[in-house]
Amino acid sequence: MPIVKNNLFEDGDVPTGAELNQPYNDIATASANIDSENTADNWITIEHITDPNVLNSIYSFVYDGQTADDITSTSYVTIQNVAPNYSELTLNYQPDQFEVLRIESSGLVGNNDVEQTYDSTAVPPNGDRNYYAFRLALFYNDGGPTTQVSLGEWGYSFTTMAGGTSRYWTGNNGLPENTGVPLAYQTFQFSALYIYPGASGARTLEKIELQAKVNYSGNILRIARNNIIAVRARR
Amino acid sequence: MAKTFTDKPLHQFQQVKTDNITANLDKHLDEFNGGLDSNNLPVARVSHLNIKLPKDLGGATGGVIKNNILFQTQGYYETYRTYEQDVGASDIYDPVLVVDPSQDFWQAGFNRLAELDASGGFDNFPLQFDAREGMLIGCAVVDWEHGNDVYQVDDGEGNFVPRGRGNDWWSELQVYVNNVGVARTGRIYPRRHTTQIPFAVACGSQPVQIDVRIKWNSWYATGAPSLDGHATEFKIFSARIWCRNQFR
Repeated sequence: MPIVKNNLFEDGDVPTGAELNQPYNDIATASANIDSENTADNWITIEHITDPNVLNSIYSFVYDGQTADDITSTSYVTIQNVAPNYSELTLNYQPDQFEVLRIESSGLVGNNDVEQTYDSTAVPPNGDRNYYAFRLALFYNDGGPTTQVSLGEWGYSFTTMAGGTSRYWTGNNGLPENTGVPLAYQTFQFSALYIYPGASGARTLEKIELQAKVNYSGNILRIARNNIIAVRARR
Repeated sequence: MAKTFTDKPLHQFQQVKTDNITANLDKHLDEFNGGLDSNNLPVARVSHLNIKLPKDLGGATGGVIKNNILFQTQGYYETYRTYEQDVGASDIYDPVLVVDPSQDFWQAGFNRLAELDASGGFDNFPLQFDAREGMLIGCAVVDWEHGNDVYQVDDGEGNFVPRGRGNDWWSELQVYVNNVGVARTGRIYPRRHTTQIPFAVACGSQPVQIDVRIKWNSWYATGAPSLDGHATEFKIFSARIWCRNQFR
């Protein structure tokens, strides 16, 4: 609401009706738009807010079942917890400008089936077959088709062996052997922020998916429990 | 501001001075012009939509990305470096920093990432902002690797055979707020791992610097060369710190 001005009357002035009414009319018009120009500093208490909980909104996806999803794809696929239930967190809201979405995800890697953690034939970096990775993908639309953006990628290894070149050894039978100790029943966890820079209400955030891939299709990554938590910071 | 009452009441048949009109109205207008407070508004009348939108305080681009967003009740700050900003790394399997513990400089204590990266890629990494009195709640997320190793050893008959070593190597990460350690992982033995370290500490209205540092145990066996000449490197694939400063 804009500042309302008053007419200054001195002794002897004869105010007209219009002059006397003007400040009241201005207030009547402007009071529909009271804003921080009209209010004192530090005046509001939490009791004045209709629903304090909406300053931050929480969204969650939890799969706590025992059945694992086997991942053998070398490109990212969405984790599927007993088909057709994907690891996806539904959002479906339009953020205001510079709103922040804080995303955290964690889960449990089960008894992986690790065939090979080295690559004795390909060119370096040979040891990369030992790796698998996760990605959090955000799906949104700006009024048109759905677009996907990566919120981050994070990696792990199947064994204690390092990546890099020549991290295998030759066994007595003349064949290369794995060097590392398998790592099973290990948790994974990561978090990231998404900041929306565009105009308020112009973008619809649809969902977040938890995706995974392996770097060698002969290895099977087994993912059981997993969850995605997102906190929408609004004000 | 307290509720306003009429200062100079006007009565029927009384002569009215124009000054009285001005004085009465000025007090009420002053209230509208910046003095409205909780005396003027009942509770549960303000929606979150009445609160101002967050503001972008500006950030940094380049090798290390920084974002700073200030809300009316909280602030969000982040710093990160991943392969997507890095000129050398190409994908999630490609590290942004490689340190050779047998050759490069590192300390026995906790190492700043900037000290490990001679190229300066992590120089701007620590999260720095002006906090307001409240809580700092956040996470450091580091995707790193320190694996074991393979080296050649004489089997006693003149044959050099490969053997594993380094299963006792370990790594540890710690989060520092203004150079005070606030969260620590404990020892993690050889592997590639994405480690998330949550932290929550109280703060005043003050400049804040949040950093994650790394300590590791590694040894170099002389006279028995590793298959690729030296001990397994320590690698960082990505590093990120985000923090929420809650002050209302």
